Amino acid sequence: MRRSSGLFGLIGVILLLFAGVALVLTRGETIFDVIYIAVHGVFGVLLLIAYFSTGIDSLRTFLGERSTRYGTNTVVASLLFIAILGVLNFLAYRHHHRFDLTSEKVFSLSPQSVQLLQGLTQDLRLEAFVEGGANPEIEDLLRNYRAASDRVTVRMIDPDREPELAERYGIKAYNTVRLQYGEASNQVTQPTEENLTNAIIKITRTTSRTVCVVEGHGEPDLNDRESPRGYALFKQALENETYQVKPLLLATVDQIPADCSIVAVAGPTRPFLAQELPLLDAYLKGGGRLLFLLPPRKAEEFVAFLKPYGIALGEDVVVDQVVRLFQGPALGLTPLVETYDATHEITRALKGRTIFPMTRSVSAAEGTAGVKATELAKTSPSSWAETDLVGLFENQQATLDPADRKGPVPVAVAAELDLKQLGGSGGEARIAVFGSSDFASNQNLEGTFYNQDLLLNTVGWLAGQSDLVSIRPRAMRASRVSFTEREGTAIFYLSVLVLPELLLLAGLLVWWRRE
Amino acid sequence: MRNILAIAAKDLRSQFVSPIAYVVLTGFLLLGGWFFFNLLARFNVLLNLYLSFRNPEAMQRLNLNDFVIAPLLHNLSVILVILVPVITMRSFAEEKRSGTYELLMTSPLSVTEIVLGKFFGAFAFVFFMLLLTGIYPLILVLYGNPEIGVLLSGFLGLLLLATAFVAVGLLTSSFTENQIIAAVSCLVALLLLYVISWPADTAGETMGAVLKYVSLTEHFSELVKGVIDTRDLAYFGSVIVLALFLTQRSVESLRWR
Repeated sequence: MRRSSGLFGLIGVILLLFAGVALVLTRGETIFDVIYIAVHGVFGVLLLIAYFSTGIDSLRTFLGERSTRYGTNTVVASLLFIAILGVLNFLAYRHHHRFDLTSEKVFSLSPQSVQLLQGLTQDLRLEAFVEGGANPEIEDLLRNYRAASDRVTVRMIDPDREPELAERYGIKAYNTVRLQYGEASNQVTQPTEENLTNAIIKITRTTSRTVCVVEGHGEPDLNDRESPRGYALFKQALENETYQVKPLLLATVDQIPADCSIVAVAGPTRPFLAQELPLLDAYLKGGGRLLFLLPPRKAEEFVAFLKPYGIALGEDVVVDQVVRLFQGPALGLTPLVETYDATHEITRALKGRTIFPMTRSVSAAEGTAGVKATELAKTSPSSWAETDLVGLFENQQATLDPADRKGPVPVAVAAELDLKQLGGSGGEARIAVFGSSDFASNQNLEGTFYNQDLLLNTVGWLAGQSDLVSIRPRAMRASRVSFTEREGTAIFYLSVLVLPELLLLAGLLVWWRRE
Repeated sequence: MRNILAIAAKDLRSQFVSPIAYVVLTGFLLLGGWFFFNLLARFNVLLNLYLSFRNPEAMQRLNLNDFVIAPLLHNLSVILVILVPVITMRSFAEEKRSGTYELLMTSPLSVTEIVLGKFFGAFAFVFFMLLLTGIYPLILVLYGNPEIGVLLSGFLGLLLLATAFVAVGLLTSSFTENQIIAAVSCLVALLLLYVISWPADTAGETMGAVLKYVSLTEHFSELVKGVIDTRDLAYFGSVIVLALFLTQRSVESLRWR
């Protein structure tokens, strides 16, 4: 009797143990979990009761026995010890130090990043959307961020397993890292330390800047998400970088509001009124920042407006031959751009192609005092700027005539104005001009081209906050091993054969002696 | 301290006169050598491949630490999961079976001294085992230019891992007088500590972090990468101390059971 009751007790404990593990792991979410836990719990308790009730006497002797006292003592001491170790480990987890032994310091962040992270005042979530939920390189990088600050949390997400998350955040490509800091969020598509740290700088900055977008001349709608030519993604991309985007009706104001950090004239289709241009000019002379997206055949009044600032708007359309399968060369009005100015802040780090649908040429005029204008992007050598617009649009024909400018044709210009030299009171103003308005439309910001990067870099440069830090990428030092064929054979013998052989022989010797 | 060393020396001697030790050593070094040589050969094949493709970017990424040392250490760690229980299974179970346990327990030695002695005995054996694998990095240093810092932290990781294994092995050995049960339950416990972080990504934030922290692999991988984090040292220290504490309790329980 005593023996079987002991078995009851043991089985009861095991059942309760499994019920506990199931509860912790599943948290009783489905009906099956609940049944499993309940059955185990009930039977476990019943068996324990049966064990103890085989005699209240035996229970009393059990409780009175010396071994029970010692047993309880041991269990309590062990639990206490585990608890203390747990607390110590928690403290060690919170306050720790890392020693990076790699010679290139691959697993450390640069001092700029560390300083930035230690100044965080809210929690920063870094979520990486990577194929299969695993990418060692990105994970290592994000871990470095987590190691630098307790405010940082890191998560690797497989967008295929959690498509609703990817959808909600608008994740378009693998290896995108999403940053969330308080209310603000941002995305980085090429997660390197430089890009991530700059994104964190932008997202954590408390003073947000305002982009005022001029309305009232048939510009594409900032809230139009549906049509491919809308500007909703443009607006969203700006807001992701913590800019505020506000519409601005020039006709109703007598000066540009003071809170406009940047004024954007994006894709006007009707001419500006006579009193509107002086407002822009006055804004510029006061140290303003202007962004222009000026498509061909529209907004011709800006040719004269921009001329004093060393920017020449071409009255033309850039044509690029495209070769289509079975059709041979055809007229193309959506030139691709691969050539960027390698020194300018905006385009220095740009690696991919951009697309400039229906664009005019925009070039930097030489020798305007007080103006430093840079041609940011150029179309391919096979393209040209067609000036015969009547022939192009009415007869659908274009040929490279002597009057046309041969490619590469510049299509975007950034200019820095020294206001003192221009006859003002001093300070600096900036202008960026793109020859296309579809360049920033939904369709082209979303696609595979780098239009969004170029656009955001430009806005950042206008606002004076293009990449704030530059950090050299680091990788493990490349190391080699070289040996002759003979040495290779020696290595093989030593590592695979000789050492195990000697050990085996030694073992045999020991065995033989003991026999 | 003298007592501890005496027990450790006695245990270590008895290891080296038993054939099991030589089977374990031979097997470990045979597998280790096989891994090492093949990883090295594959590294050179890759090198020649990229060289012939003129792929400087891939060439730049090719380094001995990531392509030879790290996979070697991970493979060795898995072999240790299987072999360390075989070494430690004897510690207490053998004494119980052969009847020398009573002798030991009635001796004037304290339980703590006995447990620590056994621990250092088994640790010395495992240390010797890992010392023999030192010829692999030695070959790399002689014929190549691996990163020494990363090499050291990786082997430190392997040693810490093996030491934690030894402590867990002692614990399971103290529970039973059957060596097979001791070895198998140690193996299961170690494997569990190895894979416990698998559901971490889906287990929710706090739970996931805890599971990851409890897992041996997470801490070991950091050291293999060349990062010595005080967290990882604290983790390994805790596992060793906890297992030894429980062993001490388990052994002492025999005095009043």
